[in-house]
Amino acid sequence: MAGTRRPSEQTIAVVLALAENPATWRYGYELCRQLGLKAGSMYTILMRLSDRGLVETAWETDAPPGRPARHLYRLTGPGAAMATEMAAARAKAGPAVARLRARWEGV
Amino acid sequence: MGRGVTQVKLRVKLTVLGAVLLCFAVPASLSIDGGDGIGWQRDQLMMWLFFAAPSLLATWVLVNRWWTGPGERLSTMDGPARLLAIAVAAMPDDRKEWAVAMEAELTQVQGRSARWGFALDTARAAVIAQRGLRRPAPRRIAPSPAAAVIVVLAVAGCIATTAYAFVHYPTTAERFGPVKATILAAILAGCVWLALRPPRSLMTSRRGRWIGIASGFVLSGYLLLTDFMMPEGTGDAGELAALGLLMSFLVIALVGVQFLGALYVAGMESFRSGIQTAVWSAMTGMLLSFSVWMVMMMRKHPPDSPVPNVMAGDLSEAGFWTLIWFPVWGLPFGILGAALSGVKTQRQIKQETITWTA
Repeated sequence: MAGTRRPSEQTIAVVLALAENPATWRYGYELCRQLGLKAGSMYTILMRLSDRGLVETAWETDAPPGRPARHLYRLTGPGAAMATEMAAARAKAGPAVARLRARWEGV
Repeated sequence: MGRGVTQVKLRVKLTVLGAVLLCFAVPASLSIDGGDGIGWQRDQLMMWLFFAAPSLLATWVLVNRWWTGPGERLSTMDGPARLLAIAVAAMPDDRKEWAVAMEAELTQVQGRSARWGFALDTARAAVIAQRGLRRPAPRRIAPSPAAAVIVVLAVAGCIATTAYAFVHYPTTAERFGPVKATILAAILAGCVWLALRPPRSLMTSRRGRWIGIASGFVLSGYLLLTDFMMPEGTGDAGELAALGLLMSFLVIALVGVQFLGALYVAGMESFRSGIQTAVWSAMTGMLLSFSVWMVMMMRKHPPDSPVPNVMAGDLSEAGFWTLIWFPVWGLPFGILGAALSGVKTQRQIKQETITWTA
């Protein structure tokens, strides 16, 4: 089921990036550059997160004349809670993943 | 408007008109090559120009209309912005906010390659969004079941009369040939597709749809009437009368019905509704008229007649004068009718504005 599917690594990265400063509105292109994600993937992820109520959107209110207002994103309450869970899961899985990688590399 | 925009506009217009002219130039060059004598070739050229004129004029009108909407905006953009604008144009209504977001964000991307990269990526996201990130709502088959039934039955009529000709006139299939048969099948399949899965732009006006379908019935009814009015005797006078009746159908009735139907609906609603009227009218009219034409020819040349071999020619004629002639000759007049109504509406608006100001 789509609703219970585990989020992809890219989705987790976006959520965690937004969680760095939960109160701050972020731009799509800015997130792309920060995470090295392609714009197509970024917008697909943002649309999906917004559909599920994990990200809220707004339009820039102080856009200079002649430039269109940009779309802004930040985590909602449930989004922030999910980010906390993701961060915890990642922290827990981190040492295990490091151990596996070390074994694989024969160190 | 800048000079650059005007030049782009002119270039777009000339390209589209050139493409339409090319569609006429290919069969025209074939027909001109087939004859001899400069006079004959000049006459052929004039005839083809006469046939092409309504299509060229209607294309000019459509390009102008399009230009006042998205076209003008596109002309001021660079390549990446144009690509993204085209990609996001088809995004569903509940995704329009994201379309605007992507376009706004592109204005912040600097550098040619970065802009192209961003535009290509977001265009991909726009296409995914069109298919639906969420489970897509199933598109209804035949949003107007009654209209779909009429068109499908009309197509069935075309198939039935063609099949009858193939069975009862043994040389017809061989003489008709696979190329014409393929074209006939493609046109009929296209009509079925339009009836069962019409684009949204063809379904917004109920009035346009039904007046168009009614116009189609009127046209095929008129063709049937001409059959009853055909003079019995042969000879020059009889042939001339028959030709006159046929021309009254192919030129006057078709042009009049297409033009007036679209003019009326566009006047009541909008230019787009007028176009819908013209499309439904042309589609229904050509299908019904094809069947009527075939029945007329079969009555004229029964299977046991001394000249049953002419049926292949009759089938070709029926196909050309209905399935091709209707959209190529009739439809442009529908577009012109819708456009003329738009001009009238604009005048009315102007008049209303003057009255209001006074």
